[in-house]
Amino acid sequence: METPHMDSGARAVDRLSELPDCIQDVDAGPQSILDDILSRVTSRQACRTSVLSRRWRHVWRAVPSRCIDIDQLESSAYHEVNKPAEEDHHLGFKSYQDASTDRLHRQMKQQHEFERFADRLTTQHDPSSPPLDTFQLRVSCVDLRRIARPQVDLARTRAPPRRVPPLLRQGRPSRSLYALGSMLPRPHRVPSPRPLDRCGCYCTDEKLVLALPRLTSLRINVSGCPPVVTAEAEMPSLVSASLLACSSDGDLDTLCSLRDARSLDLSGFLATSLLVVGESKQGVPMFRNLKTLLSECELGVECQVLRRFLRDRRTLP
Amino acid sequence: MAAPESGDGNNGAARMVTLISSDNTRFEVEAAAASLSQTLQLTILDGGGGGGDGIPLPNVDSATLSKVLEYCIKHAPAAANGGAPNATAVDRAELERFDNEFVNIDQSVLYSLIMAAHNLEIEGLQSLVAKKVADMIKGKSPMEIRRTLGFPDPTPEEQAEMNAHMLEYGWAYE
Repeated sequence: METPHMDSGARAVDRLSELPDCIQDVDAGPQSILDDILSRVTSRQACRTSVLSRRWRHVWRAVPSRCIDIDQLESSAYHEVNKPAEEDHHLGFKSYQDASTDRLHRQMKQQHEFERFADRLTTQHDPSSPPLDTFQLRVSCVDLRRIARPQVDLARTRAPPRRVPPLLRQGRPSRSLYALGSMLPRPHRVPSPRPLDRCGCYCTDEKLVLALPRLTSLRINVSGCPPVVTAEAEMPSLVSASLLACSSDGDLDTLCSLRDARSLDLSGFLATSLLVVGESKQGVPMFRNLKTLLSECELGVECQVLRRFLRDRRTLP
Repeated sequence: MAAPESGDGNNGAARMVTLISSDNTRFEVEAAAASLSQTLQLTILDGGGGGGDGIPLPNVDSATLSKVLEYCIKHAPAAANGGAPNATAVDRAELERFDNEFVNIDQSVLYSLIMAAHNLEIEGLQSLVAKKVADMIKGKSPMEIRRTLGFPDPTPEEQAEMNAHMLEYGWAYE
């Protein structure tokens, strides 16, 4: 945003550089104005401030939030490549095919660039500063390989390896995790499933495992062909959770570990599976803190699911 | 008002405290407003700043302090309601309008405000100025940011260092 009156007249002399670094108390939130400033711009923009001067080189690395968003590929080239194909009816089939192939190649290249960007952004967190508070990953890519199959000779096309960014893979505890998008990438290699202090996220070849006991906000909204997301630890601090189910078993496990959530937003679950989850385990009431339940699932005959969920509740939502 | 009575004869009226700027100007202000500053809060709770003494603020000049107090006075009623859960939409809109107007200021004044907000630990004001600066650097290249924030022109060494760093961090600029 341009602020013309700022640039007019005598230039103010920089004083921001005098301000102290991000001192961070995980429970108290941002403590420094620099931190606050850089939390308010995109992670890409925050990272760019490292070039400003020696003073600013590492400031951004301690900022406790990261947002990796496909939309941060802000170059016009990205939107150029992804705009809908022109309807050019007089193109012959051959040239149409060539054009599509070409477009696909460019999309794959961009996807690859985005992954590299995400990797770099997540590996740059200053290890001496407190762990990330918020990590947001928004990937919205189509499964290029699947689309590619009918048209492109895969032997000649190196499909971009799809990986979970290292931060998610190696895991650092954070309070909010959002994974949104049409596809959560499958890990390319299989890293050893060894979470730090059993706390964090890690990825096996099949699953993205969450072990985040401090988490207060979780949003998993991934459709397509995702790896199963499972939760390994209970999340007693959870305030709100939103879950979109895509496959059967893993999602239910995840749901079970959300039992302390005060607010649940579910979609994509089958009524029968929800009934199984709603069963108390060893007499422990499920979802005892639940205050709000938003559901876009079948609720079963006579709202059995709802009743099961609410059975142990004293106050009705 | 949430401020306790200090027993200095101000019964009935809101308790007032005196703040003294670096250039020795005295500002008399309601304790509730001054208490938005975490730094001042304890002193005020201890009964300081009343009567003739006043609290000296050697880091804040009178122009900046009067601006800061303008913010505090406006925000004190809402803060007294514990973040104003029962504030009406009109009140909130009015505060928002005030905030937007408030930071529409000369950059050197903005910087003085940032330093004061930092020294006095006034949370709302810190966020407000942080948001303003964030808006100033959004979508700009490093050189533009340097110019916007008022960095001195880079020396040749600094320029070389910046260039080298640009190469290293080229991925953030793709």
